[in-house]
Amino acid sequence: MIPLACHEFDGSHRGLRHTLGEMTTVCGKCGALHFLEERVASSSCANPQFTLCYAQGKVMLPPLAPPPEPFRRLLTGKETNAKDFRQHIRSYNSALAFTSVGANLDTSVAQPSNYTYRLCNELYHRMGSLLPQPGKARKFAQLYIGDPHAKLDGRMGNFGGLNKDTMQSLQTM
Amino acid sequence: MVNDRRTNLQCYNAPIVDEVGALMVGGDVDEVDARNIVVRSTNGYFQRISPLHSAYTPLHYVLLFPDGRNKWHDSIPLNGFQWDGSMFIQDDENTIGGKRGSARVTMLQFYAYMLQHRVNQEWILRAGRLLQQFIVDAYACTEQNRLKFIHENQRQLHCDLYNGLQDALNAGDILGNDVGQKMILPSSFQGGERAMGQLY
Repeated sequence: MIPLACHEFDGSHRGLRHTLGEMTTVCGKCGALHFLEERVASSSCANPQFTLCYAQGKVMLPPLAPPPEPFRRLLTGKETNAKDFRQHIRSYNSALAFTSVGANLDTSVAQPSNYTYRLCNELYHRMGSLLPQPGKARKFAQLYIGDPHAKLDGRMGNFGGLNKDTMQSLQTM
Repeated sequence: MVNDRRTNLQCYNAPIVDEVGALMVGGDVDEVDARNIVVRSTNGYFQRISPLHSAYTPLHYVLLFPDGRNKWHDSIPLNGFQWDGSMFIQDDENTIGGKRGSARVTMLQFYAYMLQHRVNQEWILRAGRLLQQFIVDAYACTEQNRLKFIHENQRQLHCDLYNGLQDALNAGDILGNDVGQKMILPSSFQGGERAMGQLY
């Protein structure tokens, strides 16, 4: 039988709702949450096995360390600066990163209301020299060497719209 | 800055002293090996970093990898194997390995494991837009890695057989942009033409 998803779309399925239930099934080995339907087809509902998270026992990695303090608060907090941080998290990350990303961003499907990160062709990370070129501002890894105030100003200068106190706390994290 | 990860896995860990030391290799070092980052001093050029390098993600996603640990590298053993610095050692006879007896955790397995929702460990999933960028980046790396494998293993895929077929199909249909070396993507490559043909 041809699966439903492989049929040509003729509109007759419109209105039919497909539901997977809640994502509450815990993987017995690694603790990841899953939908019950994600289990390996041969495993039972009572003792579900999953490949997605730990490849049926083959992948076991150390748990993620909890994030350092100002970062955890910024990720979960309800304060204005925490919300602002989450809105501009990519700029904060780029300001602190050692390398830059080169990619052709595809903005054809991006909308202001619905955030999309889509790229085409190739993607690469580049790392510059440790010393800035004469007459150029310090960037990326170059900002890790030198005076803390100059680092902060350099990071604030390279990206607009960032909060100086938030950046200060991340820098000293 | 040359890093041989096989001998020193702790190379990029958090420093225990409050000093930074850098080794600069100047002059004629031009080549980038898959496992080395070469930083050229003062000439201002940017150097690409191989996605296979263990420092690839922590160098950019400093917020997601605040201590530089928990990163993918090519010698993470599967459960039941040990990495002794030069080879994988099986813990006992009954250990199940990966496909074709592989003993290492693949990039896809690593990122899939890392991105699961686990109670009290889901902070990485809160990173919003940064997380999206990270996932796209991680998948692009995985795909690039696979394409590299296919590129290097065309002989094993018996591509010369396909090439004859392609030649017959293209006979008399020569355009400027058709000329070049053909790469055959097997049907096991997700998203490729053959995989789509097989599924639908």
